[in-house]
Amino acid sequence: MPLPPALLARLQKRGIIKQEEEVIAENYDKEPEKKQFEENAAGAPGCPNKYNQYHVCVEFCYEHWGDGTPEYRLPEKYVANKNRMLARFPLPENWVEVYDEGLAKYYFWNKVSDEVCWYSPRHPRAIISDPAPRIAREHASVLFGDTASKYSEEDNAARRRGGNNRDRGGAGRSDDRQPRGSSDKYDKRKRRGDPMEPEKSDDEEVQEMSTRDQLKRAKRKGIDPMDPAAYGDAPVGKWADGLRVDQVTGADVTAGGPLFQQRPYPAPGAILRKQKPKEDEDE
Amino acid sequence: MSYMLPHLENGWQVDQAILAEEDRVVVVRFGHDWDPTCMQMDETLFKIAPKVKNFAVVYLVDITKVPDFNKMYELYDPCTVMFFFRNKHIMVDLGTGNNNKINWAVTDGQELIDIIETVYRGARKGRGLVVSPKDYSTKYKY
Repeated sequence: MPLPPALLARLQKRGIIKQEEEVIAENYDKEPEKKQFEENAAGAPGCPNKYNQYHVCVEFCYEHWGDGTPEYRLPEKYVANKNRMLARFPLPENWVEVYDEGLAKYYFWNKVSDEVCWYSPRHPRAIISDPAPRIAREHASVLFGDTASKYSEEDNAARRRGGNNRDRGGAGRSDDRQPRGSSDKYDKRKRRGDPMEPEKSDDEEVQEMSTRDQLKRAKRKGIDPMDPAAYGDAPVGKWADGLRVDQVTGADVTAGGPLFQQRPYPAPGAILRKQKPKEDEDE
Repeated sequence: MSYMLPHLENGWQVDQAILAEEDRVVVVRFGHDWDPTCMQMDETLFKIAPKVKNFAVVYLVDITKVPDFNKMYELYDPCTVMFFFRNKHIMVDLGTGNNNKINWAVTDGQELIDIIETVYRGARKGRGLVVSPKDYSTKYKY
């Protein structure tokens, strides 16, 4: 199928199609992209989580992911597949092809309606939807109100957990997390219709990690499996953490070894002075 | 014999008793008068109190009535004797591993006099830690 002249010209200009070359597409179905959301304008350029409708990019995304994968480092096969698909299903008016460094994928964006699509909109499997970062921001504002900073902190933590899990090819992630999702997952997403379901939140993402996965993660991080941090949301603690402050004695608690026996107690007056403000607070 | 020795009824009195002594060691026994261990210790303390009156003064503190120092001084034992000199806690290396206090009943009066005298001499020289004339590491005969 011949390319429309305008597209052909643009692709040639970008160097994707060589002069006079006919691109014949047959098996672009293997293309790993699936229906997801993307918008370049929102979020860190290199962040691979922008497709996630529950992800709002925070500073961490900028620092950690950097600039992402440059366009020239894409596998040739992927680019060829994409070009074949474009040749078969040329982009309608107002649609432009956009490259995302984070996911190392192309998506298609409608300049007028601000809708996005992983496939060419004319592709039979194409699902056109709102960009994920925009959904995520709305979602965040609904969930957390204006406390954006608080949200981003939590989200950041959840993101790191999620990121670790996925690096291992983590089991039990939602289909949102799997850019190379299988077709049944794809169908599930399609059936759900509105991708923004309000009851789904970050908590669910945390729970999705099974206890076994959490313990594996703890082992990898060197956390004691008996530490609540290994299987729960508690932060990693030291030995003295959780002890009540008023259990501290007068002697120097930091002294150890031979020093331990050379730690004098404070004078009674000092103790009384120390206790006085505390009692005042109690009353 | 605890009724013969002066008791301190509250934290302020303990503080003042220690502050008031300019040139004597203050020996404070923390515990309960009714405790058998304390009874033994008080017996010894009462016995030696007149003998050491030139360089030491003995006070008794009921740790139930005066709980202010229990936490800070780690007063878990039935009987605890601590030494202060010029508002400073004086440690004694008794060989038991705990230099802060005597937490058993000393039954030999002369031993206790020796300890107090050592504390006095050391503290006068500005030492915070003195070595007991007798090693109590083998105090327990297993």
